[in-house]
Amino acid sequence: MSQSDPLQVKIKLQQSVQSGKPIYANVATVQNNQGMSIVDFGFYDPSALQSAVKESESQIGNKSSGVIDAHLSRRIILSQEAAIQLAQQLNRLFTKNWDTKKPQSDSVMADMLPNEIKDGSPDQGKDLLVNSNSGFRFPWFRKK
Amino acid sequence: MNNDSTVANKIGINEAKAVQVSIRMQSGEHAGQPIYSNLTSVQASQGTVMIDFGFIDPQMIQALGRLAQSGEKAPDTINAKMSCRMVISVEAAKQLAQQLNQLFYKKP
Repeated sequence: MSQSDPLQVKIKLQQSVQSGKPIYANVATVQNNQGMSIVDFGFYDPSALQSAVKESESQIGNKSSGVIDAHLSRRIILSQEAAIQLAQQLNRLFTKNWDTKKPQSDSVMADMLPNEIKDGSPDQGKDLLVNSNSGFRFPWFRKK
Repeated sequence: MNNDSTVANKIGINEAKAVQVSIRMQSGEHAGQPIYSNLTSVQASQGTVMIDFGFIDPQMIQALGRLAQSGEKAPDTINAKMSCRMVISVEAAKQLAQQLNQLFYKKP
């Protein structure tokens, strides 16, 4: 195997009973701390937001001091590399011509594999394919 | 446990003015312990974005590296465990992307 021939490995993401249940969130915050990124996913009642907007509209000058409560759904700790890759995935999602009717996916294993891994499977992320054509390269394969 | 981190939502009322509302995040009963993840997968579907957080054993990656360097055949598939699957609104995903961009792609 030469250096110009990247290693292709499929990553099968195995669900457990708990992780298989999706959790809905409509707000997310990110904090950086000691080389880790803490991503908090939460849910707030959309009607509370509308009420806060109406309240602020009724105030003079539209200066709202309104605060609405959200419930923390899940806290995820990501390595910095994983957080950067997540940012890249989301950026790709929103910069490319996004057809919401057609499911699209983008997957990255970030901690040890700093480059792009694209999902080659339409199977809702269960099989993540390391796609050499998309530019993925293991760290030990250096470009000549 | 209260999380005092806030996020400012700018809700456009019209082009001329916007309302800023702070969102106070409070820990829910089901939030549980923080989950560590080194694998992410982003998929878009109708009106939502699904983010899978997974974990892959770093030793597995090191073993793969050794296999590759020695020229041995690497396994076709390696297993990773899904830690958590989040379904978030498109707006929340955009906010998340903006926050991550601000963190990691700050202009000097």
